[in-house]
Amino acid sequence: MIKYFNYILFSILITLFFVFNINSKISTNIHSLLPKSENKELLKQFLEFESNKKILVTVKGLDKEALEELRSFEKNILKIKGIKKENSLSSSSFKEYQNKYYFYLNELNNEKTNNLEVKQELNNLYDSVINSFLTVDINKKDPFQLIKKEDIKINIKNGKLFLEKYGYVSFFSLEKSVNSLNEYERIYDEIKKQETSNITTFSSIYYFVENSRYIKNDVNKIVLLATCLLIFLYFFILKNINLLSNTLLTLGSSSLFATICLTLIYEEISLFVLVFGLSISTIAIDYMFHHYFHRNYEEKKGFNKEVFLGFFTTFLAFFILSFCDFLLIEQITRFAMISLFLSYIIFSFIYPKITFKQKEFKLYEQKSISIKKLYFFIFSLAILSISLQNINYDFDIKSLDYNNKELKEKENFFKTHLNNKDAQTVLVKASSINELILYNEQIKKIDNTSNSSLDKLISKEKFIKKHKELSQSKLKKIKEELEKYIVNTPFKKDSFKNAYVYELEAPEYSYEKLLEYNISLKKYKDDYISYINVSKEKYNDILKEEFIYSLSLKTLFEENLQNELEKIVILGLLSLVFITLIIIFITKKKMIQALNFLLFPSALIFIYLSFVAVNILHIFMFFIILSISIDYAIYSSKDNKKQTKKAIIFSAISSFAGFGVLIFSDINSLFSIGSVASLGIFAILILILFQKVDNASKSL
Amino acid sequence: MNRSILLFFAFFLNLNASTINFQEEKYIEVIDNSVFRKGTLDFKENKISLKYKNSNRVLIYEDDNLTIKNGEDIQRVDLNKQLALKMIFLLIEAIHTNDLKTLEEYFLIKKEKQTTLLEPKESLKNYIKNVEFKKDKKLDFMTIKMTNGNITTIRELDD
Repeated sequence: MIKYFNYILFSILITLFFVFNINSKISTNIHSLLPKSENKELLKQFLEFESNKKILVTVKGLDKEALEELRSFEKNILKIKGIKKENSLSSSSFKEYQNKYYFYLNELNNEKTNNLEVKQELNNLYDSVINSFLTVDINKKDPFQLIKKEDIKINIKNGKLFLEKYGYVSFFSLEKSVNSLNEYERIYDEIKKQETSNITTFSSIYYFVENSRYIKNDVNKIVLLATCLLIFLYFFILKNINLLSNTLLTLGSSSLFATICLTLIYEEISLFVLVFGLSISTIAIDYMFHHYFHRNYEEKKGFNKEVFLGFFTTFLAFFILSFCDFLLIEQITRFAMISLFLSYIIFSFIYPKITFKQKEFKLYEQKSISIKKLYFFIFSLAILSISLQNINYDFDIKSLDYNNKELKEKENFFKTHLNNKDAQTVLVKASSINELILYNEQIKKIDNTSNSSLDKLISKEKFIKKHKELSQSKLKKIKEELEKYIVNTPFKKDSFKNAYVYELEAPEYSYEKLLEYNISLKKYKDDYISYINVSKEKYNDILKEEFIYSLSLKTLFEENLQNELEKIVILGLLSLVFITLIIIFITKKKMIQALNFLLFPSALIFIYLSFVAVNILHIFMFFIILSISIDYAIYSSKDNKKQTKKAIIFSAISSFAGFGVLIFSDINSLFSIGSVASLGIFAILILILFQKVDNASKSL
Repeated sequence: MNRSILLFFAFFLNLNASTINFQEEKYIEVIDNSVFRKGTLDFKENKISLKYKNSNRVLIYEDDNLTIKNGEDIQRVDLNKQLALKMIFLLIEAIHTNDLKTLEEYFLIKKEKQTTLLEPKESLKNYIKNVEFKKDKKLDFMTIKMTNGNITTIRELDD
């Protein structure tokens, strides 16, 4: 029965994984790496605003063929469930409101108002009415056009909106009910089916779909590569399929167990955590190799102290790092601790009961080069002291995500053509609707180019100010003169009875009414939120306002990272001190030889890091590599037999299969991990092969 | 329904007409009176010119822009203030060239006996109440009812 332990455990865990739909808690969205904070919640709320669910469509060319192509495309995509044509119609209640507060929501032309000759203007108005082309367009609230109107540039050709020097454009939006990644994917696929070479479409939801697919493909590619490498290692060198299947099942079970445990702690976990966690799980292979090559699985040998010390120090390093508040690292370290613990228990206590026979084989023997341990030691210290001075940090979390250049170009294309290139969006939060409007008015004072749906509203404070201005203006006099002179004109006497009449009471806004007015507004806990587009130049000034929240991942992560970096370094160094103390305690006279396993990989890694922008994962991986190296330091100093070297070499190659293959990833975060891991493993192999050790045989 | 309208257009409309004489009846709500004027509409590719009798002013609708020519004086019309006028030109052009697809972009088309009723969609509703027209070999009439109460009727006159 014990022979099938791994199969049974794996079956139970995989069943639990599917029964509890753990898969749905795994997110490919970089937002899931943001620490739980108000900013993260606000960002989530913002992404639910309808403006983030627009679909922009353009066709190249301004001729009739292009127009036809766009129209047929429109017809087809409107058949897709969840897509609707962007509705620009204002509700009747909003029109009524705009009309009622016309003089408050617009700017009065004071110069024209002060110099207006009502009698003359009435005559001019009559002439223009009579001589107008085809139709008459009079605003009965303001027949003399005393309100300044903003110039709105609308590009229409052949009855269709167009982007200058490019082609026709149309806008669609998603139904409110479309919220899940699955639905985004369905809509994305259906739109792409309709796209032609002349048609370009863009929506923010494309990022979710494309990035998620890219990351999944990349991860699949890497998992496949790692599996092939492991199979090659076991099948052609170890020639032990039974050991391979059991090891893969143990690693799989540990990872599944860790994933399930993590989903009990967190609402969602990032796919990055999973990939990284899976890689870390492969560290546990060295526990198996040491037992295997020392024949613990075929002879009764009792407790293997070296393996325990190796496990304990690695576990301790993760435990110390887990106190870091940066969510990504917190999740990875917890994953690693759970997974390594289970693997260690199975490899140390279950495998000897299953029993595996070692098959004899010979590895390449390196005898020609032997370098003194002191040289490695001095070389490493020298390199470290130079390279540590040349480190540059990169705090932008976006640089860890998949860089979707093509989609970014499309987004920029639309932003440039829609004159929105330099706009940055910020979130505004207030405890009442009036306060929210007031905040928007304050932002307008800092940046008069800012725009928001809140612009259509007026705060009580601004209403009072405006009311005072209107009372002091000539409007009342104009109204009186209009009533006086209209008697002697062909105009109906009551034509302008509502002209220049302004409200005396401030508008009362309710949440429901504002939604009816198409204002982008959301309730968030006891507060209200909306968003404002501001210029790039004023962005930083505006962020200083306490009611303004950044929606930029870069800003959010930077804040968190800068707070946490110091902590990570302190925790990392703390674990290093522990590791060093343990090494000194265990290795005693062979201290330098063992310390080289820490210093030499560090030196190689830091040569590389001094040439690149160092991100959080480089630093984190550096500490992980050291915690792996310590295992090898302990094994090699306690026992320098052939079996130990074999075990270390195989563990290192397995670790490369776990971490090193990430170097083939196009996603910066995974590449960062892979590059540091590969260098670290390379350094360990050099030490194993070339370091001259006391009483050592260089044959493998 | 669309097919029958298409047939109607294809069968009856004078596709290649380049200049038409017309009479405009403009009911102006603020004076509660109608103004009658005669003029010509000249259609060229992507260009419509409107000229009233006894007036030097010519309104040109070209490449979706509006300009008023008064002798040497050329004045570009602010679209923001004349959106309704632009939409009327769009209507005239679409009806003249039987561009059903442009009409469909902005209106719901209903055929009632021999007349066609256009009901505006979306933001156009803010300006236009509805449009009714009858076009046989020539434009019998086109009536545009605006939301502000004004009504414009255009009738094509015999040469």
